Amino acid sequence: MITKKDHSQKDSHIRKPGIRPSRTKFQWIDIWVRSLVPMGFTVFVILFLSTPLDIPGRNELLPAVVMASVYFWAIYRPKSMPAIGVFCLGLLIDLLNFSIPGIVILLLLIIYGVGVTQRFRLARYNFVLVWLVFSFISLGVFLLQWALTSAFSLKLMPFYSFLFEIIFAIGFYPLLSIIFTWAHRTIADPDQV
Amino acid sequence: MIPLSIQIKQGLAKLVLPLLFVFACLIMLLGQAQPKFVEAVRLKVSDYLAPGYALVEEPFGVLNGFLQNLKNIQHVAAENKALKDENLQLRRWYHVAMGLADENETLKKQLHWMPDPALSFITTRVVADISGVYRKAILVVLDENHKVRPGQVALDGFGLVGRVTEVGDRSARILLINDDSSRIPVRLLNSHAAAIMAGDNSLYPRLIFYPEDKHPVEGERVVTDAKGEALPAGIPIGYVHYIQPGQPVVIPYLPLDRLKIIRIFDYGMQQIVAPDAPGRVVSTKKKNRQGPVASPNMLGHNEE
Repeated sequence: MITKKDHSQKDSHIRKPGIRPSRTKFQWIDIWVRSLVPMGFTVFVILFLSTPLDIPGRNELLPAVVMASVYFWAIYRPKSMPAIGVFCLGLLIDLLNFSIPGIVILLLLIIYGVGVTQRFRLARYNFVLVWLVFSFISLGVFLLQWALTSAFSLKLMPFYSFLFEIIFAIGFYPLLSIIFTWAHRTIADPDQV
Repeated sequence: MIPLSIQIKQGLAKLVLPLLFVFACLIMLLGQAQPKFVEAVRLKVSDYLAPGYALVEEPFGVLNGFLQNLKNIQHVAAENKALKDENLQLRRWYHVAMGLADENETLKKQLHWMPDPALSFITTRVVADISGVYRKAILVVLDENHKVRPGQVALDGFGLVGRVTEVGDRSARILLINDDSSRIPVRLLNSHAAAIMAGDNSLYPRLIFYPEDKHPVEGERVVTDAKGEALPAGIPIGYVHYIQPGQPVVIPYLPLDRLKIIRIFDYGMQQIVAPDAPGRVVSTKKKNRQGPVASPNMLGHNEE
């Protein structure tokens, strides 16, 4: 039995060897649901930010939130955010959007690739450094999006949206990071069943 | 499951990401090579998701409405006073308008004016704003047996918002007038100049190509022009505003990012074909025809 005190300990997610009763069906469902939280949250954000509600800057917010989510989970729980899943998220955004297909997939995969290959290094850094790395990647990635969109539509796209995307991505990351860290320790942790 | 050694499994796991990168690039190429196919897939997806969107939106719509109500309650007294004043003014205008309508009616009778056909239109709900960062478009839900076709005109309660670009079984996409690729010929009502309204993904489409000697006047009304056979003439769009000296934009009557319900009009542009004229040489491709003119009663604005 894992008590509340153990949650705060750093190595609580490492299962200690020993004999325990085999898991019931409901526990398996619980594990399954918990491991789906990161993907589920991101899909919900994509659908929710597509509804015509009065959310200011909705179009710029969507890529920013999805990028932050993919980056965070790639570093801290890549099992719940697999590469195929990231590809499907990008595909979903591309299919729902009116833009040139494939670009969003590429951007998400780049940010995921950076997160997942550098995860052992990044997870050791403190928050500000992780945030700084995210800021740099998102700057590069959104610049790439702007360049690719401009190249494919054969004209220079307006620069404002790009700036807003960057500002939203960098500005929202700390807030999302707090929520995700909380979720990472509680509702999205399969080891807590 | 095929039994594999740990090394091969690890190797395959490492290959997944590069492979997905290749797939992403392939999809980009596919989008360039086969845009029709991509559009068809997108329409299928939106067709299935359109009811889902309505489900996601509903609870938040209710919540939003409740919060709006709470906000509005605070200003009830002031609003009431303003509305009473406005109502008085509108009543005066109503009588003027009725007088003018009567006069118009008699004049038309004297001239044996052929009345415009009443237009068929459908009213639908906007279920999703499918705008990306570089595109502006919305998705509406439709019946199973609708008659909406690409090229038809979408209006909100006051004026033009866009054109239907793709139609599925249960949904249609509407490209908004502020999309970067939208170019619409317009006419300015006070200065009588023609211009092009060009979207630039901001909320307010710009006015370009207006005559050198007739600059748009601040506040004048903008309606569509029938040039280029894309749209019928006379659909109201908005009014002119200078956001900077020398940079006129059109401000639509309702904000384009908060569309809830729109009407899709069938102007029947296909049916208007010039009568046969024996001996007249017509160029093969380009038919010289003028679209119908949108009068207020065609748009359903008439009183009674």
